[in-house]
Amino acid sequence: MTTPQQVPTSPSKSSASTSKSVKPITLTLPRKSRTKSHGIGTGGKSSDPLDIDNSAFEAEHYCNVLLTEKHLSELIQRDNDLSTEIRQLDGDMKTLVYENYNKFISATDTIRKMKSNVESMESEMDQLSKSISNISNVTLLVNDALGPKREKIRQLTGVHDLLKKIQFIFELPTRLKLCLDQESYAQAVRYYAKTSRLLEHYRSLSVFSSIESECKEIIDKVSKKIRENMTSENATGSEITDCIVLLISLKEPPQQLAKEYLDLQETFLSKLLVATIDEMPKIPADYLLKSSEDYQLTTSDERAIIELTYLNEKFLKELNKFVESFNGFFLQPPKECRDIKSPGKSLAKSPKNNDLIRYVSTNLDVEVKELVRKEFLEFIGAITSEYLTIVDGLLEFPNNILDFKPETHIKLLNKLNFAALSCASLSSVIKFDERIKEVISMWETGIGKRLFGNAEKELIEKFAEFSEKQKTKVFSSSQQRFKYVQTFVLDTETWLTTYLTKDCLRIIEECVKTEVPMFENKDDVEKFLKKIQAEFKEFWYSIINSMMKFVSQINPYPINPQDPPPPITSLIMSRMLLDFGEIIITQVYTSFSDKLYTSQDNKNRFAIDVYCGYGERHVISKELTQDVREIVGVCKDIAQRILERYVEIVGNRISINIRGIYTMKSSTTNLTNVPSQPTGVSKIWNTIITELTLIEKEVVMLYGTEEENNLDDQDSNTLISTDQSLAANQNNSNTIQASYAHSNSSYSSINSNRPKSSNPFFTSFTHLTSHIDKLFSDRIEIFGIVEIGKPGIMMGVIKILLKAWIEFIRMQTLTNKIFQQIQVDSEFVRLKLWKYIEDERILNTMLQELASSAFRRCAEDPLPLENTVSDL
Amino acid sequence: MNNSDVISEDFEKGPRPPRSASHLPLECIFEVKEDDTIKKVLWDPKKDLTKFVSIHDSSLRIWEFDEQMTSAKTSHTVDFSSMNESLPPLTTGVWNPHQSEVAIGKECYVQGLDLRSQSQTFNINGAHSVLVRALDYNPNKPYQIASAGDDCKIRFWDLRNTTNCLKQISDHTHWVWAIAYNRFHDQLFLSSSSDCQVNLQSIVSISSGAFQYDERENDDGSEYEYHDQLGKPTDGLVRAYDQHEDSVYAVAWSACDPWVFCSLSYDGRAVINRVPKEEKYKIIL
Repeated sequence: MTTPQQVPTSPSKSSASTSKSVKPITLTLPRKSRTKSHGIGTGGKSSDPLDIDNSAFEAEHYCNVLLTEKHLSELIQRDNDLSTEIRQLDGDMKTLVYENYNKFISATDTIRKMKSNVESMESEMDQLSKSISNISNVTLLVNDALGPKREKIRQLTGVHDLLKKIQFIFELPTRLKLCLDQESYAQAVRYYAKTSRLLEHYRSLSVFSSIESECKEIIDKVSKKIRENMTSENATGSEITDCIVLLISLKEPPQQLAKEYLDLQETFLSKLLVATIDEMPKIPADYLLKSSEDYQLTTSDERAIIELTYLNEKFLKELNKFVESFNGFFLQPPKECRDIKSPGKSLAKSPKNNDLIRYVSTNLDVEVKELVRKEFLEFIGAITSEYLTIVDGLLEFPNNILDFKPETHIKLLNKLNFAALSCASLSSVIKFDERIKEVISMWETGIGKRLFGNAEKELIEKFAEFSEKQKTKVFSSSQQRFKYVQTFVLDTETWLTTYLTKDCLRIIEECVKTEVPMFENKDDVEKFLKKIQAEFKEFWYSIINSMMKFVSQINPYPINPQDPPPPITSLIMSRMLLDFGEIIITQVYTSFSDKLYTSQDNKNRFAIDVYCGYGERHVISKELTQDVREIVGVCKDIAQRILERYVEIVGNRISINIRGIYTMKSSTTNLTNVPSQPTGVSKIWNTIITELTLIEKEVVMLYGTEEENNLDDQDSNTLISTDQSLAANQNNSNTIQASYAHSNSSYSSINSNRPKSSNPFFTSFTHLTSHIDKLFSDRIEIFGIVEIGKPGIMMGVIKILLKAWIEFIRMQTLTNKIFQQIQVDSEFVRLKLWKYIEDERILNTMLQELASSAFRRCAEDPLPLENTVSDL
Repeated sequence: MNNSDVISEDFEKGPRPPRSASHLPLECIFEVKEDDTIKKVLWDPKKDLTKFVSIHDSSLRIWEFDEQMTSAKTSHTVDFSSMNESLPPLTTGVWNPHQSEVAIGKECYVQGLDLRSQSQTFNINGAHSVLVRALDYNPNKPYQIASAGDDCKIRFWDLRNTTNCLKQISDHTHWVWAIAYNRFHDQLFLSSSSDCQVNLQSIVSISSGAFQYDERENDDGSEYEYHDQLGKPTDGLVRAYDQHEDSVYAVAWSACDPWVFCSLSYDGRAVINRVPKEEKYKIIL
């Protein structure tokens, strides 16, 4: 038992064995847990006899286990551990005892003190309870003494009140009569409303019933009078409303009242509107001055402002009032009407009205209510639309948009905006404010449409006039005609630029810069600009579209066919669209961006450099650049397409010329008196070549050429000069040639590898070679993409002509003579067309095909002319 | 292109049962003398062998056979000649498969003629801006005609309202010489042009098949899953055939196989093609 191993057993029983940890143990916790574990029982928890902290710990067993399982060194170690633990636990226990002792001492002190205090308190308490019982006794006495009197007083007061009421009731008929005589119906109604319930209650008593009937009589009269007032011609809107309030308090059936009210107001408001419209032109010019507006009303333009103000004051206010009261009386559920009440002013000033409205709304079925609401909304909608049409009338743009003064309209719109804000109930019922906003935004788009639409209309008119002039041929010489064409292009372009940058921009700028509250908000300005921007974009598109339409073919023809515009119109349009794309659009947008988008913060304004066709740099604000790029792209694209259209028209026109020639019939008629060999070129080819020259002139005039020095054509020179002046006009230092420089590219790679002989095709071909040639030659697209610039256009026309020739020949059966005639013509054409064409290979290929076709179509043995055809 | 003064009539392909050609050599039954150039001869598409129509430079003649079919005589002549000699002659004609009507193309207009009364049934003025070269009636949908011309366009018309065309195709870059509806699936349409191309177009939106595809959309999807994968036929160029080296003047569908067609070009090359499989499956599945 004295062995060190046994030492832990004794403390484990007495001290807090739950923890062997070194941590300081709190006072309560370990104890509790120990008692708890005891309470539950030893077997309650997993009882491990080897766990030193467990309640089921068996020291002996533990020792034995240790001795059998552990080495000596471990045992020694364990012993040491245990002894330190024991020591520690001892110390802990001592501290605990000391602390508890301390507390015990202080507790004793406290108890002692309390004992001394309580002794004196007991006597004081006794005294107090005595006094209280005394007081209660006295109070009871007093109460008993006064009791009966109080009861009497109460009774007397009741009787007094009752008497007063009875007095009032007895007097009621006379009072009501007095009111009726004095026409103070409102007072009468109020009296009656106060007493009616009472009278109803005591109807069984004969006295009251007689009074009631008397009152009823009078009240009936009153209500009749009220109705009379209400329906009288001169009743104003507020009078009607007052009457309706009275009738509601008389508990007339609300459904009928609602209808009556609606009808009356309807007639009244419609009349008012008509009257106001009638009066509008007659308003004295100083009307506004009276109403504390300090505008300088001088011009007739501002008449509109006066009129609108008048209209708003006379009509819109009434309308709003009516809507407010009707809504309050009949439509709003009672809960809401209390909310409405606080800002509301004209109705429901007293809680009494509140009850009335509750009465109305409870007596009105949901269905009826819906019906009434529907009718009401219908009427309101109709009359508001009428009002808005008047407003629209005031906002009309002048016929000549350039005379337009945006300031007036903006002021008008501003007024409208205010009106919308002030008509809160109107807004809530039919979204009046939104409709006004709609009007404003309509105006915003309208101004853009008018401004730009005008430009478009005039542009197309100019074109129509131009084509008319071209058709009627009032020109004495071609020189004059060409000059006219040039000035037309120049004038139209400058006109459009000035119209857009001066006139339109001025008006839009005025709109934006006007200092009116409506445009004070930056968002509004931005919105406005956005709209204008969209309109502007649309304008370009519609110009392009109408140009397309102007020159495009109509299939089928309308019943009254108009002559199609002359082909030169499409050439001009194409040229102008090209100019638009190259420079004008960029310029116009630049000035727009300078004027309209600088007013905003510099922070928000990202300028982007845009390079126009001449390599000039333009600074355009970020919002616009995308539009610019898009429109420029579309313009160029459409210019290309219109040009292709031109080539097609011209090509077809020329090709029709050769339709009839080379037929058997035409040749047989004069076969007898001509030599067997052709003597010269067919006449028609001379005409065709002349026409081609004319076309070339047109093209050169509008599209220039990169080799002016080769052509001593005066027209082309004048064109260059005019174009340069146009360029100078647009502050552009670059010459016009730069824009055409790109046109000579795509064919340059094809080189003519055919040796030049005088007539290679007709003398030296067989079927085989022509086939092989065809395999290796490129397929030629006839109505294909046309290169912008003179050579491209001429090439396009010539391709169409030659292909048509080939096809025409293929449809014929040829004699030897005609074959030879074709040979001559082909050589002639080759010589003549040579100068128009950059790439000779296409010409050669096509002429060769012509030759082979002719060869095959020849019924006789084709005998090509051996001698050089150029002699003829 | 073949201008001859004589019509050779050959009834081998007519009413007799087809047999192998070696047993039945072609034989000339009769000839009709005609002093005008003949552009085109039209059979009644209803295979009613009582009359045929010949189209000349400036007139149209209706011929009637005698009972033994050994000769024919002109029953009517409709004259189109104008004062102006230089105006181009009649270019083409086609017999309406739905009624007794012939449509002819002349200059820029297309005209319909009732064969019984010889009166004009319709007139599309300015159907094409240059020349009308080819016409074809939709075989499955009455009142629909296609026209093509020198303005490289193909237009489709509803004959009941010709103020606007139903559809316009401009995929060719030179004159369109021949057009043909597929006789079975009129959503397939062939055109040939002197730009050496043959185009196979899908015109499902205006074809008699348009309705069918609308209905399918409403059906429950599972059945047509495969069809959905392929996608429905849509309008547009199905394929352009460019095997020809020269202008393609004629194009025709096979009479028995709806998916085979042939085109003929100036250099004498005839090319037979099939409709691409994908398009075929789109149509039949």
